[in-house]
Amino acid sequence: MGSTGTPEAPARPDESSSQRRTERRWPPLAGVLALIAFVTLGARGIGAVSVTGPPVGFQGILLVHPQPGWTERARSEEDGSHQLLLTKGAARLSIFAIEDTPWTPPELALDYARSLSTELSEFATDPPTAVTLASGGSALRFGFVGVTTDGIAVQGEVTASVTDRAVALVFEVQAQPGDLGWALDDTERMIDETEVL
Amino acid sequence: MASRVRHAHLHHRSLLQPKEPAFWVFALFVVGGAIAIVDVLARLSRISTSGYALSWLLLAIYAVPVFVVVYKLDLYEREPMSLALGAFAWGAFAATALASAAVGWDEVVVRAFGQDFAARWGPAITAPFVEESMKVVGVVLIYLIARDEVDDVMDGFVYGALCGLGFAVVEDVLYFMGFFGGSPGDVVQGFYVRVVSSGLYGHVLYTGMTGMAVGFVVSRRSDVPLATRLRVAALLAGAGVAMHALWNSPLLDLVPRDPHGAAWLLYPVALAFKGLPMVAFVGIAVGLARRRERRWLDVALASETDGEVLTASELQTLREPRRRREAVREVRRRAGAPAARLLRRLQREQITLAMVASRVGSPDDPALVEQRDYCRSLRDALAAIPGAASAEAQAADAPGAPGPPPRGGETGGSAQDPR
Repeated sequence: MGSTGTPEAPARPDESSSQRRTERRWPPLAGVLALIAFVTLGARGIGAVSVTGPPVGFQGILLVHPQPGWTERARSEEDGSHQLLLTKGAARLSIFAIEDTPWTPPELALDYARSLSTELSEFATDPPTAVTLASGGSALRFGFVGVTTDGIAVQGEVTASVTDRAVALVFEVQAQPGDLGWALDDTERMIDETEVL
Repeated sequence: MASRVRHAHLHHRSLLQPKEPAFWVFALFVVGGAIAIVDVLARLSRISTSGYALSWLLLAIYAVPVFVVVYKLDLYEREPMSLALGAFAWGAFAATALASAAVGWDEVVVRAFGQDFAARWGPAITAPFVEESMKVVGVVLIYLIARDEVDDVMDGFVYGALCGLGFAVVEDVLYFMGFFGGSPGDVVQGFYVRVVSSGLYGHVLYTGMTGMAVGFVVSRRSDVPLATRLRVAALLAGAGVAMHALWNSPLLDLVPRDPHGAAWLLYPVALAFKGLPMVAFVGIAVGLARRRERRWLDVALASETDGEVLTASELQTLREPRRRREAVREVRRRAGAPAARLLRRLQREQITLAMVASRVGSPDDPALVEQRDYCRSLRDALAAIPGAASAEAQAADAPGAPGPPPRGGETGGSAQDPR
């Protein structure tokens, strides 16, 4: 059809002015990039201006600041063992705190991996890596994959840490395939911003 | 020099166009998407290596024939293979990764309509909007990379459908491994539900329609006002998105819950209630686009049927891929394989003649004259092979051949660019 404006297809001398058309390269490309940016980031933009939920946590132990869209779904506290579940869509962040723990972070991570392996079939983990939390505490982090009893595959990441006051902390994020990336963006920020009291 | 003149009016561009900024955007998103998706798939493969391998094997059995059928839908001008594979790769890697990254729309629906409504209707609202827009972006980028290659509505369908096919393949692997469990038995179950029962109705159709919208906007600039093109494109794209929304919606959801035994056999029937109207709708749209392609060929070659370059009966053969194949078979039977190859080449060059004719300004354009000479020389060479000419004539005059095509001007196509 119209001239491409490239050397391979020069405008013909006999071409009428109505046929001659200078193809614009940049405006349509800018439109494409704008569409991609809107679809991929637009909802986050809407979420960012929305009010985030109030901090949640365990009294005297920790305080978590939920990212937009994360809401508390369940909680249990008994005998120095605390559990909190936050969700956003199908992604779940489980937070466990156990007081007076004798464990080190590697022992805690290993024990947690063992318990996950009893809940998930086809369970497999990535090699653990040592991370330093924004609070200054050291932690071990490992990714995992497995299949729930409902037959649904989940991917996740566990961050295990022990505070100076011997409180074992475990943050476990679980998401369905394809959702883990954005879930980790949120949860790693929440973990970094967690206040250990 | 002469052949350069002839081919200056043709347009067989490859995907690799480093001078086009759109190429680098395309490459960036495909490579980035591939890295992200391969990482997700690699994690899932640890659930069951055999299930993972089986997923790809089964999907290859489905995807390769679909790719070939879509690729051959264009009656006269097959798209460059690099662009076709590029469209597939965009759907498989870039569109899937971008759709995965587009998080938060479900939350927007929850906030706007409440949790219960979102649970029922969220997938019908967010997924079509996110996925269709990210897939059709691939068609737009292909157009920006090689503008001459999207020169009719059918081209838009082909590129869109191939984007959709790539998307469907990767999504199916994610479903087989993720939502069905990943073991070989789970994968077979997933294949039955998502491909055997509903493989006809999915992303290939939706993005084929949105691709047609792109094809219509960019290919009809010479004869359709912008406002009309945008209206038609909105209808076509809206149809693609609406089909996706219908598929994801709870409407006509007749699929048995937690099926056992013979209930599994109801799956294809239940899904057909939603799917077959979509197939029929897209079939009509594709049929109209192909009819327009035939009109384009008739108009473009109307003044060339002088008997030296092309006869009227050869034009009839040329209009239908099936009749072209039959003519080649007949020539092969009567005059041997070299004659059949020569006829196939002549047919290809006669279609090229139509393309050149529709692109040049004058019937005496050097490129057109040269292409005529080339076709003439091929016809002479074919006629010199004993038995070839009579076989070709017999195939062209075979019963069932449609009547002569209308002359240019009777078809409604414009003389300069009838497509």
